[in-house]
Order: sequence, then C-alpha cells, then structure tokens
Amino acid sequence: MNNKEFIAKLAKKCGITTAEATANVESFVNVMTARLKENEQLNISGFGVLEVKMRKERLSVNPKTGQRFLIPPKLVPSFRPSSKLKDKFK
Amino acid sequence: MDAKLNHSDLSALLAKEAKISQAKAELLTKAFFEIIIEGLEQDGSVKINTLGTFKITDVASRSSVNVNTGEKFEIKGHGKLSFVPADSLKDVINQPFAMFEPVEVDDTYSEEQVAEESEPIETETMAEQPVEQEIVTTVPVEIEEEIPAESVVKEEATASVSIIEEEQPYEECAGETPQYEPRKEPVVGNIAEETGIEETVTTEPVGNLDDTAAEDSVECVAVEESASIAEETVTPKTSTETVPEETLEEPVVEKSVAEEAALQEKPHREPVLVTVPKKEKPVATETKKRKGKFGMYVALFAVIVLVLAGGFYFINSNNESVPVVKEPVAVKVEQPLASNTDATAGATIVAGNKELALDEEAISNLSQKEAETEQPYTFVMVNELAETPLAGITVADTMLYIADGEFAKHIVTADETLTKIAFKYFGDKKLWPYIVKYNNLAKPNDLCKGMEISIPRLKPAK
Repeated sequence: MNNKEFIAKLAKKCGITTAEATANVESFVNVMTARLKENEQLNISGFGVLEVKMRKERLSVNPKTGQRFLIPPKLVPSFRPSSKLKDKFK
Repeated sequence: MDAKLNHSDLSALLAKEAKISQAKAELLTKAFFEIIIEGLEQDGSVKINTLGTFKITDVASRSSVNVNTGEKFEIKGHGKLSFVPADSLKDVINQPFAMFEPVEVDDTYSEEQVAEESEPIETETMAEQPVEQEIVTTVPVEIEEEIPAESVVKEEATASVSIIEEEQPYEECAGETPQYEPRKEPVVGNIAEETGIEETVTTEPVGNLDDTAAEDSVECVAVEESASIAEETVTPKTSTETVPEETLEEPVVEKSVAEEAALQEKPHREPVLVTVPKKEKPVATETKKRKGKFGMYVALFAVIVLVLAGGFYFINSNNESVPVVKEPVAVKVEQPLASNTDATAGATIVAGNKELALDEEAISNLSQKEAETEQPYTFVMVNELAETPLAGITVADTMLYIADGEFAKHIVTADETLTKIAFKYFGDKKLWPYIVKYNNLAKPNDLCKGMEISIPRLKPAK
C-alpha cells in the first residue's frame, strides 16, 4: 500500500475528500514529528510506540581500505509494535 | 523521554494543528492507525510519504537452546513488523546531532607509543644524577688552584671587555640549558687532574674575570656572579669555554707562557669537548638501564639471602635479643653486607639443592636447640624443611609475627599495592597480610590513592 492508496482509503473511511485527507495526514505527521523531536514518546494503544532512540558513537573500519572512522552519535526515530500487533503478524 | 503521549493527546494536538473539531481529529487518528494495520494485512507494507514505511519482514527460522534445560529447539520463521523512517523524518529528529560527521581516526597512534616516548626521558634524567655528583667532586680541586692563580696572573689584566661580552651569552646558555652543564664540566675536571699545566690555564680566565670585575664597575651582575668563587658551578664552565677564544685573541695582545700552554691544549681539548659528552650519554643510559634491572635482582636476592642468613643465625645462636624483624633502615644498610656474603649464602643455597647433609645438620641443630633452650621463635615449616630441600629459601614465610604497636603511618600513592608497601617497610612483600590485619581492611583489593594505612611493628611470635 503506497501513500496514494493510503490517503484514498482514509478519505473513504472518514468521509472526507482526498485533498482534505492529504492535508490532515500531513498535519498529523507534522504533529507527531514535532512531538518526537521534543523527545516525547507516542504511545498508540493497539498499534505500538513511536519514540526516538540515541545511537551511540562508534568506530567503524572500512574493510577495503582499512581506514577507521569515528561514526558520531545520532538520534533515530524508532517504532516498537505492541504485542498485540506483533502476534498478529507472526 | 520527557513525556508519553497517548491517542487522545495526539488527536487533541491534531485538532489544534489542522483546525478541525476534536471528534473529527479523534476519528482521523483512529482511522490512520487502523488503515496502517489493514494495509499491512493486505500486502505487508504501508508507505506514508513524510513519516516512513511500515512493513513486515520475514525472519528465518533458527535453532536455539533452552537456557534452563539445555535442549535444542527451533524458533520458527515469522513475520516481524518494522518501521523504516522517511529521510525527512530522520533529518528532523537528528537535528541536534546534525553537525557531527564521521571522522577518520589515525590508527598509527596508540597508548603504547606514549609509554615508549616517556620512558627514555626518565632514563636521561636518571643518567644525569651520577654526573652531577662528579661536578661536586671536581669543583673543590679548582677552587684550590684558583686562589694562587689569581695572585700570579694579575698581569693579564689586559683582558678586554670584549672577552667578557663574549662570555655572557655562554653564561646565559648555561642558565637556560642546564642539561649541557653536567656534560661538559666533568671533562674539565678530568683534564685538570691529568696535567698540572692545564690546570693553571683553565683558572687563568677566571682570574681575568676577577680583575676586570674589580676594575670595571660597568659590567653586568651576571658576570660578577660568575666571576665570584662562591658560584663554583658556573665558573668551571666559563673557564673552559673561554679558553679556545683566548687562544684566538691573546696572540694579538701579548705572547705569554700561558698562551703557549693554551695552544698546546687546543689539539687536546677541542676533540675532547666535542666528542666525549656525546659518547658519555648513551653509555650512561645503557648502564643505568642494566643497573636498574640488575639492581632489582640484586636487591631481591639480597633480601632472600638476608632471610636465609637470619634464619641460620637464629639456629646457631641462642641469643633472644636479635629477631629478624625487618625494618626499612636495617634492610638498606645490610644490603651491601649481604652482597659481600653472597658467596657464602650462595653456598648455602647450593647446599640446600644438592647437599642435603647441611640442611639436615641445620635442622637437627634447630630441633636440638629448641628442645634444650626452648627458644621463643616458632618455625612452622620445620618439618617441611626436612621434606623439601628448597624450602630453606622461603624461611621468611615460616616466621610467625605479631603486631607490636604502630611503626609508621603510610599514605598510599598511585601505583602502590599492599605487597609493595609490605616490601617497603618489612623488606618482604609476603608480609602484606599483616598490614591488612592490623588495619582491618575489609577489601584488601580496593586500595585507594591517598588512603592512610598504619604499618605495624612486627615482632616474631613467642
């Protein structure tokens, strides 16, 4: 299911036009992004948890050249599915 | 994780953001996640442009082991829901760390190199110490000759200010680079001792300095200080280095016996001055290194020998007044003595190895004397001595000590262990348990820098 299909389905389900749905999805994603950026956790019952994790800095070696690089730390958005959802797709 | 937002929080925020009613927002968010699940059920992946992709990935079956029973079992392959964030989301989230970039690390530099670099510096400073001692010995020799030389050579007051001016940079060098002083000064001392003529010559410039110092009040304080006999360490240096210069200048001013002597010196001294100090240094460092290792072995061996000698001393003498309580001073003083008795002690060790007869004699002596005189010393391993010929070396362990008051307070420094402290105070690292016992140290392994430890005075148990 791609983005187009997703929006079409959402519009149908909520009884709104696709244009509205597109705008609403965009604003909703913006809201979630803004919350995640504030290091907040999004607990959506029955779905899972969206959160930000920090990957620590690490040394990596280029196997071809043998160069060693210090990879800086970074923040990564991550999704942890709820156990209910997990079992569903097992 | 500052806060946890749930479904209703999100819908409230959405209502605000999209300016729609709360009910509509709730419906929308609910539908949002429901459709994602529907889409996943449908074809296993849902892509939302600005958020990312939810998809089900297959996990292959693998075998595992039950931790409790040790049985092998297979984890069957299953689907796993995963989320791949969109690039735009990733960038926004990672904004706080966005300025970091991968840096190439230079792998040629390691901690071992640092250690290697610091080591030779230590040996150099060590090597300088004996050289400085030589200076002290050479200085008085020159003072004795300086005094007559000054009185005789006052005719040479013609030494111009230009010489003094040339000397100043050397003096400054002497002040700035103290490392050069010890290298050159001993050479002067050696030459001065070798020939009588040279001695007088070396002192001459000093005499000149004195005269000019008396006459010319314009000179700077540094020159006066160097000229004064009080600063012996500086004067030998200036004297040596002015000599080659005087040989250049004096022929112009006047021709004297001293000048001839100086010319004779020239071939002798210049090579000496240049070459010898360079050679000396590496030799000194090498010998120092060897001495360092060798000294360790000698010290260890000396302690063992001491203990052995002490043990036999007990056996052979009935005196109660000489216990083997090793105090630091005693150990240090006796070390040279021990090296003298190396030969005899070595013999006893050989005896312990090869000729059991000696040991047996000693043991029989011991047992007899214990029986006869009831010595206060208890040798725990007397029987083991008889069994193992080598046991004679570890006599120190066989002694039982009791702590008798406090001997000293010790503040633990970095790199120190209980065994090192025990070796420092008792001369035997194996006696560290007495320190632990005396201080009631709960965790002997956790010795902290700066900790104060009281060292007990050990007396043989009665």
